[in-house]
Amino acid sequence: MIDTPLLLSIHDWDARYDDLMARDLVEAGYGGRLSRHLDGGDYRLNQLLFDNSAASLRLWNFLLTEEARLAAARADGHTLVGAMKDLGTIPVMAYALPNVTAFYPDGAWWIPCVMELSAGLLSIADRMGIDESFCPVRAMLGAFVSEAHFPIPDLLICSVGATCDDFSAIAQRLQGLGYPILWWEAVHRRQADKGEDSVILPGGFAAPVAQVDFIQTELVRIKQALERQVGHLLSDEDLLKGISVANGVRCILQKLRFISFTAPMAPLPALELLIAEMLAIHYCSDQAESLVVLQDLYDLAKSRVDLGLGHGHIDDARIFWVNPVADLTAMNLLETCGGRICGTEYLFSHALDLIPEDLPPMEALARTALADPMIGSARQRAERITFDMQLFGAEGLIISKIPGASHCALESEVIRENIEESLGLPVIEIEVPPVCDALRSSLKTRIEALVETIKSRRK
Amino acid sequence: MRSIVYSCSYVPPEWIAAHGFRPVRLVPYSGTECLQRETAGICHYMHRFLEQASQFDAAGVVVTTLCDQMRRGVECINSPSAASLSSLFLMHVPKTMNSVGAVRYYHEELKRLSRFLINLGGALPDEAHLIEVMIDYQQKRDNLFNHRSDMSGVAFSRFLRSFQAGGLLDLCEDATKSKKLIPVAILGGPMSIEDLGILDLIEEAGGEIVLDGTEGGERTMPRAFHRQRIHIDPFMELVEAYWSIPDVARRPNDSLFIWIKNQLAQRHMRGIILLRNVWCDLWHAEVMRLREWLDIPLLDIDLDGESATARNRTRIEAFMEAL
Ligand code: SF4
Ligand code: SF4
Repeated sequence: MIDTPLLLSIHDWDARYDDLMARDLVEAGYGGRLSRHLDGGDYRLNQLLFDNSAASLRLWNFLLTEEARLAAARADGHTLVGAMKDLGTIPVMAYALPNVTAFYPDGAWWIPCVMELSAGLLSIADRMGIDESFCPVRAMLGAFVSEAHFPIPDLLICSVGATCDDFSAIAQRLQGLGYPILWWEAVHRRQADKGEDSVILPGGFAAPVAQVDFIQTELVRIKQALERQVGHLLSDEDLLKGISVANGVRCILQKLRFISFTAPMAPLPALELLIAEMLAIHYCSDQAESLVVLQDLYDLAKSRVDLGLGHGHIDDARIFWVNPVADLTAMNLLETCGGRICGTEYLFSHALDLIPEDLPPMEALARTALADPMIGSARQRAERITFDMQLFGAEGLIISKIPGASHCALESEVIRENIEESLGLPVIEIEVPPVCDALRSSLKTRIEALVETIKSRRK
Repeated sequence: MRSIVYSCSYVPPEWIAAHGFRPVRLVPYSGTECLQRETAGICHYMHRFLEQASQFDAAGVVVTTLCDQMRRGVECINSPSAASLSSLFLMHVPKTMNSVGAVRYYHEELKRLSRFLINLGGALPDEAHLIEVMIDYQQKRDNLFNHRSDMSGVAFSRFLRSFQAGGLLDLCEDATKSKKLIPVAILGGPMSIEDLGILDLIEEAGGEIVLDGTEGGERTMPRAFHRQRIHIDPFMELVEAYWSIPDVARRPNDSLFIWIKNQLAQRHMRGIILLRNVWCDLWHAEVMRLREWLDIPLLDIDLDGESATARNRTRIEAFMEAL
């Protein structure tokens, strides 16, 4: 039976949980009441509104138990691989090897928000000389130093090159503190020169073949390091299988995104969709389970759409969202203001596109890595956003700037101009810090103004 | 001779000169803001460099990806002429150090730069010509370094920048060397013309700059070309000499720290003044690490291209006094 979609506070969820249990809800091993995570210090959950479905309960429980999963993986003798910055490529290789658990220490981005700064990670980063002029990923430094949020990986791999200076500088600081890092070069994706061969990458960008070849040699270097660490050779056959599993996750996520963004009413709230997208990057340290979690969400979304159910109203403003928010409460704000999500670009669209399965696997991964929206030009990123906005029928755009992230200061204007000129749609820029309570009313006013503009343009 | 303006130490001026252009490493001044973007979060040096490079009467502009802000900033040039945009070359300089592929990529990028220069009307140099240009540059650099002890550290720093600017900038006023000054090093990112005033301030406060480890200073000069290898494969020698420049952006950036350590042993400075541009994450992130690592005092000065001299006078005086 499908219940009416509602947004619940974490305390309302307790009654909802009892209700679901009374109806014989079968949970995964990490299941339980959402409110139990408050005891672990995830105080921000008090401020969030959650979808009331069992599928969302599973999603949240899966997300909020990652630390325990990593600890269990270490206890089980798994090799822990910390992939950094590339968002989506290295874990595909790592998970294709036996007894490897890969995760992104970058995920510490959200700890200051989820724990309402109580973990002190930003203060540790401050003490390390990485202050608020850097992006919130600086929390990662605090997480390494405190060793309180994830086990220290056996192998740390970080992409650098055409990546943001924030991350590169913070990761170097980490190495300076004695955490060895294996670096690999992600080149700036450029257009092919006259007479130079190029290929189309997943997602539609093009790149010179020479760049694909280069990335492939870099990835081979990483593959060899992984093999040495694990003591097991990764055959093409196994890597292809790994790619196929990763594509399973990406495929279900694509379906989930499409149905959620295009349905007359939003079958899932913006917040849960953001969390779902994150699973495609690192699988919350359990690739097989992330597939099940996403499948559940998709089944729910499909049922709700089939029954004409959804959150909000049919005339909610259809908004495309660019960049992840450091404070998750900002996603709730969208619905509070009469908006709904119709498309996203959270810096990692390349982790959502299918990896080619008809190519030699290392070349396929190289093409995927090179499709990273952040290593090309802002104009290309803007073009993809334009394309997706049209695809999903978005009526307006929110560019959510990341505090301290220097790329935001430089690319937001390019994206804004591109959308305004090519689609003539309204755009607003907001900035969301890790805990945005003080800015809540001004953020609300700005989003409401966008919603109003969108609605008035319909007439 | 037409000029090619370039931004980065990893662009060998010899390579540009050998193609028949005058290489000009622009030292920007504080001018009107032409990039149409907001300025919070943006490095003023990048901003000013790109703004002035796009207005410079040059055949082309070469910018590298070594700094992500530069890479992104080129998209924001509010150029009055489309021509200046079409003659912009964005060169990827790999940051990864321990990768053979990365050196090869740098090598290929320099070849791509060559094709860009040829498209602008340059000529592909034959080996003999390249060797000739490389030796000429080497001699000029040697010449500068040989006269280092005759001039003040400030004058030397200014001479180095004038040399890289293709002689188009006369930044050197007084080369006389004062006596009984406290030996200090400067380290950090690039400086605008106004920022160079800080160097005078250091000298006025009783300091002698015995090492210029800033961008555009001696740290960012290539090592001397090998006398035999230059005749065997000059291009490869050029690649290797420039690839080995230590920089804060390299990953890992150990070679920078090794360079500093070696210089500390040779030059006996009593303190280091770190000059970093506001919003430059790369240098900002190293401040604490340097403090932890150095056994001499470090003064951290941020440059904003305008008021750095006035803002930092007292701090520099106090630092020199403490030394
Ligand atoms: S949010 Fe932006 S600045 Fe921060 S690590 Fe990611 S890409 Fe870099
Ligand atoms: S000072 Fe730093 S941010 Fe500015 S151009 Fe140089 S490397 Fe880039």
